[in-house]
Amino acid sequence: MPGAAAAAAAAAGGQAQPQAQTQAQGQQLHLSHGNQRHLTPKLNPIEEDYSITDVTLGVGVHGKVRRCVHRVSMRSYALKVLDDRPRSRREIDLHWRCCGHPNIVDIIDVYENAVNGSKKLFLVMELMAGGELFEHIQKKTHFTEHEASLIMRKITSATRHIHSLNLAHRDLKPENLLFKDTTETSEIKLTDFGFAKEVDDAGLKTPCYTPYYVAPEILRAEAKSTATYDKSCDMWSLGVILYILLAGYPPFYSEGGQNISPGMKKRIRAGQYDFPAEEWGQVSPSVKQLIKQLLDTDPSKRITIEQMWRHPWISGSMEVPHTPLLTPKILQFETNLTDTKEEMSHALASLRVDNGIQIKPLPSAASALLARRQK
Amino acid sequence: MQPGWHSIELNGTAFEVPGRYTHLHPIGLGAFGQVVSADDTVTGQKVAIKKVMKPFQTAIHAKRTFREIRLLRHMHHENIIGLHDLFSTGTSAETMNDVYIVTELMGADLNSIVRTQTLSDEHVCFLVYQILRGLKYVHSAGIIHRDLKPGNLAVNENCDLKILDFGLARVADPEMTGYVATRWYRAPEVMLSWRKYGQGLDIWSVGCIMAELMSGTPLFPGSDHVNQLTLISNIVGSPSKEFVDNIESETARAYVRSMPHRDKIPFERLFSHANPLAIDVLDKMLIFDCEKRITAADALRHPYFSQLHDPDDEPDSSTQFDDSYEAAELTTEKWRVLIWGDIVTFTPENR
Repeated sequence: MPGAAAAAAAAAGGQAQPQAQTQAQGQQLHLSHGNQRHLTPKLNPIEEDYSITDVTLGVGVHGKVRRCVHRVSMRSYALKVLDDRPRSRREIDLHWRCCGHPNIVDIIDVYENAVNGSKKLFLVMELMAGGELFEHIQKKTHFTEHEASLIMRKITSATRHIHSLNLAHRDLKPENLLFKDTTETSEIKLTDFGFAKEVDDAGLKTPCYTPYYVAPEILRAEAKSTATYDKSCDMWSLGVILYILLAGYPPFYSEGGQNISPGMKKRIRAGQYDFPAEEWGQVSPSVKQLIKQLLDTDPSKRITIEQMWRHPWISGSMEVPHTPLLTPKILQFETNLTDTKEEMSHALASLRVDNGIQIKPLPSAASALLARRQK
Repeated sequence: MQPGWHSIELNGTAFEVPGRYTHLHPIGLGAFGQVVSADDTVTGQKVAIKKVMKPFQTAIHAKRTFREIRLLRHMHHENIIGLHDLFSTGTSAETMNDVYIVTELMGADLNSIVRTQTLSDEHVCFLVYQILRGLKYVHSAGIIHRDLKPGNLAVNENCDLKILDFGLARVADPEMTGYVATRWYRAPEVMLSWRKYGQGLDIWSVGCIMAELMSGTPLFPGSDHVNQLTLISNIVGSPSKEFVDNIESETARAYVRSMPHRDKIPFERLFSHANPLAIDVLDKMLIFDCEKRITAADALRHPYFSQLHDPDDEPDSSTQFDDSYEAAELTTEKWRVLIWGDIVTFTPENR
């Protein structure tokens, strides 16, 4: 019901200029895609409109998400409280721009209130009562490749929406994919834009000066772009999620995975980490091919969201078989869902490139060591 | 809480730190702990504070915590991250439940730089020079890094480089499989547990990193151990018969013998416009047989680094690193006492 929620938000929203956001006018002008409404934080105390409960729904990067109840409609929502910093404003702004898509969690209201003297932002979102992706699947008695493809199509659609707005999510992981309710037909939605980033394709820049090395035969030196890189990280995440969705375990393990079950250890030792036959024997070759393209170790060779969207297994142009998968069973049996989630968070953290910095050309670099050598 | 300290919850982890550290901001998960950036208001420096994850859960955890502290305490070198501060909210060895390790903070790591910036030959030369200069010091203390990779090399916009996370990857990781970037820089002897490890394994990693700085892409991005070994021999060529005969593990020896023969591809063909001196450095680092690889000290004397090399300003460690604790099988309680001893004696001022 994103439309209804949006309408409610628009109706309730005051039109006072948000503070500390002078560029806000410019942000209204995303007309071709995404959210066209202007977001204005409300200044009245949130407690006037919502009662805030102690029920914790999840823990995000910057604090807990709690349940709150709208005092008039008595409907429940999810509430995230953030310190009022530029970073938090950016998170809300980027999330807001992506709203209006059926597979992205909707923002209902934003409040700007002082709590004990410090300014906070209160983000009211639609409530996702169906739990996280893999917990939802864990509970199923029957899960087929066909169902997996329908879920993946939705996740792909959400990511495509984000990429089309020249944004990258950069934290696509199971904890951020939530089901609306516990029914069979429940919608799945993506949330948490805490690491989302604006990426500018127009900046597909040639290096600022000519590199010494020009395109070698095998190891091609390419014009670098964080835009392409950040989006390629999202694609890697989709590959991992797709792999787990079909097998119940992840395509990688690193240090510290102490809770790996004996069966898993055997598979890993045997070197069958590609697609072990027990779980993958019946799975369509087409989707295995897709996973390989998503997990390509070279980010510049990974397929893009548009290519994935058109892939027959995702687009529905091929008949995806109703082969039953072992995923729910393995997710229950293997006690390593927590481990898997931790591994993925680790991997994502190491993939994210957050430095705004570039190393200066050496003649203008103020390095103490270099200065000693140039005496 | 001790007077003058303050507490903040970040990423679901409670940080309780002395008042001198302000503006805490999560920057990610380091080896074995949550890391935040902060300002040290006493020195005016930017620092990284790591809250060690489960520091005393088992004797193995406690030993690991002690190892990390001791290695960091040993380091006093321009190209290596040193220990800035060490504290705990506990008031005795028995009651302490947390350990915080404070180090200097740099702006970025080479992993993010190499993904987003095309580097010049001068950059590559100065960066690799600094890695080798740091390694010479480390190796002279009898320490092997074991896990050199772009993500463990901190840099700033002035091209200053410091090596991070020493000696933490002590155990060979048989579980480190699949699409894991940390394996891409591992020397073949480590990956396949061929023989006792020497300092040469770090040099292999430097070679991989140098090639990646030159080309912008990982040199051996294997999807698993076997595939990675194939990628390696596709480029550096098959190992010599003499070398293969010396592989300790019988299964590894049989496997390497079964691999099809590959000739070495000259690096000048892979990096067709590269500085020939850089190519020569790569040639001396990326050699199957770890005993034939160039040492850090010798590499610094290579003509490629002639503009930077200064024998009077490439210090060795004045003492050998005392790793006698490695042989000790102590209880968690005994490790606690040792760690507590380090915590009470260490202050930012007396390091």
